[in-house]
Amino acid sequence: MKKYRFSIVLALVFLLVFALPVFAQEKYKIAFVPKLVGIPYFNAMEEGGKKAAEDLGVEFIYTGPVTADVAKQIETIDNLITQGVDAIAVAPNDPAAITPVLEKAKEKGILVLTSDTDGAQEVRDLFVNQAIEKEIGYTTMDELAKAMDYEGEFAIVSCGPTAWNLNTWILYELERLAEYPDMELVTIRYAEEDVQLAINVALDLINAFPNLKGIIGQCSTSAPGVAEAVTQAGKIGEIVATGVSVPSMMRPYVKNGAVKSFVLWNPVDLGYLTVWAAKYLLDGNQFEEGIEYEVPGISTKPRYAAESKMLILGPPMVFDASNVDDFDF
Amino acid sequence: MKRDIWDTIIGNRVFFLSLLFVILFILLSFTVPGFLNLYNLTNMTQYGVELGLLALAEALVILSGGGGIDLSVGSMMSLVAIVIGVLIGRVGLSPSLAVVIGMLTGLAAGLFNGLLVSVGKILPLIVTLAGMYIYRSLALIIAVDPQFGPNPMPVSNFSKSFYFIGQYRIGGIPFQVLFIFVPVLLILHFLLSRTAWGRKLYGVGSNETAATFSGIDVSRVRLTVYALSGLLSALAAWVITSRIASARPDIGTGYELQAITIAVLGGISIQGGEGTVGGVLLSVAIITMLNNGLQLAGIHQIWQLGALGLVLIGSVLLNQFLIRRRKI
Repeated sequence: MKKYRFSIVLALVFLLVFALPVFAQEKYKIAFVPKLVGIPYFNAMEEGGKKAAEDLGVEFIYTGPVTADVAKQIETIDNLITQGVDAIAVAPNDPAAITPVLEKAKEKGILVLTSDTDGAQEVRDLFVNQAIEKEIGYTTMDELAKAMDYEGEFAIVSCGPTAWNLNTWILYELERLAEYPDMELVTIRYAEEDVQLAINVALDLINAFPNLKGIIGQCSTSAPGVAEAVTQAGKIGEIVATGVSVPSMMRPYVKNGAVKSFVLWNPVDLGYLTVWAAKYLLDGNQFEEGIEYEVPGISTKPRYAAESKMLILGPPMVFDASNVDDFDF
Repeated sequence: MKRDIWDTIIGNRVFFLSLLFVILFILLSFTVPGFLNLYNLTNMTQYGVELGLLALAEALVILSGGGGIDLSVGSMMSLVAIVIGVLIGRVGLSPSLAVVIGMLTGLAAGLFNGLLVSVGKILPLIVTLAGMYIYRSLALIIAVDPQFGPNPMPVSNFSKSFYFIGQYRIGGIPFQVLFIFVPVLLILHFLLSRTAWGRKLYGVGSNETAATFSGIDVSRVRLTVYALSGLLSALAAWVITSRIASARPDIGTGYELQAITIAVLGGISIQGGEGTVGGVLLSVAIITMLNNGLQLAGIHQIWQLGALGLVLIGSVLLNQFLIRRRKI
């Protein structure tokens, strides 16, 4: 027995001695923490991040809560700090609640980014923004107006009531609404990041507002949710759904006519750009105002806005029957 | 003889959990880089505080017997969190006054449950299930910010002084561990093991009829534990609001079942009247450590809930096995 114990201890010592240099290898560890894991949108960002990590020779860590849980997301980031990563990018569930833990990360010398959704604006080093909020809001409203023939009542089904990006898009949608005097917003409802909940909320709306002509699903889960509700209620042709979501979830509704067009950017590119930007900053580079950056591996030319420390992927994309089949995210 | 020792070892819940704790600790120390160092070991304790307080609340309620269970702890936590948040952030009350009102709110919510159970003679499962929905809804209603239409919003404009309880450290140890969780543990341990009230509680939980005949006011004991459960949920709400710097009306969602799980894992018999504070502490420690280890090892977080379930079912199986053996 004693003999065995000695060899186990010996083996462990060897393991430690030889394993440590492997961990100490100079390869940046760049982590991305999504709002939650396991939905197609963030899976696409993960795919882009992985691709960038391969191209750039860094280690990519993708981890996050199973539901869009604020406390769990903070705990995840804290554990990444313990692991000693070089950069943390996060799509915060609560832009205020994320601040203390990102401050802590920064104190430990970790590069701190937000991506997809902004938060902790005073703390983070960079916000990798998919598109300017104004352009997303305006484009969404334009697509809705076109689909509704520029008149009638519509509603918005958003997701987290406190999501900074969604609220900003809504703000710009309302600004753009001034261009369409015959359209009227009847209500804004919230359905969390949950397709089923969005279906229920939208079905309630369809019952509550008999003159409804259009619904915007503000995030990647609520857009297919409202489209499904229009389908289930048998209102295809009477009510049109649009919003911001991924082609894989919207495809069936473009085909059945519940959706004419919808808005997004390329989340694979966004994931790629996040890791690329983290590496760029870790290497000691600085972004400069107004420059269009050549990022090999993505289809757009991102530009930098110095005032808000924001790297913008590019203009939003409109998807409709003509191109919805061309994308696999 | 050998068999007797083995019986004591696995028959004593606290000893069994300590053993499990030590085994896990050694395992994680050797296999997970970044686990075994003072920083991580002290840092992770903060993630057990809220769940630990709720598990203690659950332990008291379950101990009191009569089908005692409190499904509303998570919702009471949400309610108190948003009460504190709104009072400070929107009404402009001083943090200390807001926290006192928050504690009273939790106490009142718990008392309401307790009255329905002990005086109204309604099953605890029904009362607290209703409470879960009522308090959750109340939290959302209170959180409505007219600026954003009819929609509930979290509150996050606190002054730095409010963060003291949840974000500061003393000698590396989180403040809330030293000054909230440990005192609560000690007080409850003292109450349960050294006072007449503790003996009454175990008496009521293990045999209600016998307790009644020996002159114990069963209703009053039960009323007290539900009220305490509300108060402990309120404490958890205060800690988490300060820790995450945001008062959210949905923060407690999902905690109730985890709290029950931790209490049962800690050896609180679901029939009541059996179990200790020490067992609950160990089970919180085990789950907190396991979560930390799994995360540091980069294991997908879907496994964390699974691990909690597996540890629970394992412990229940063992419990049944022990009970069966005792009968033989």
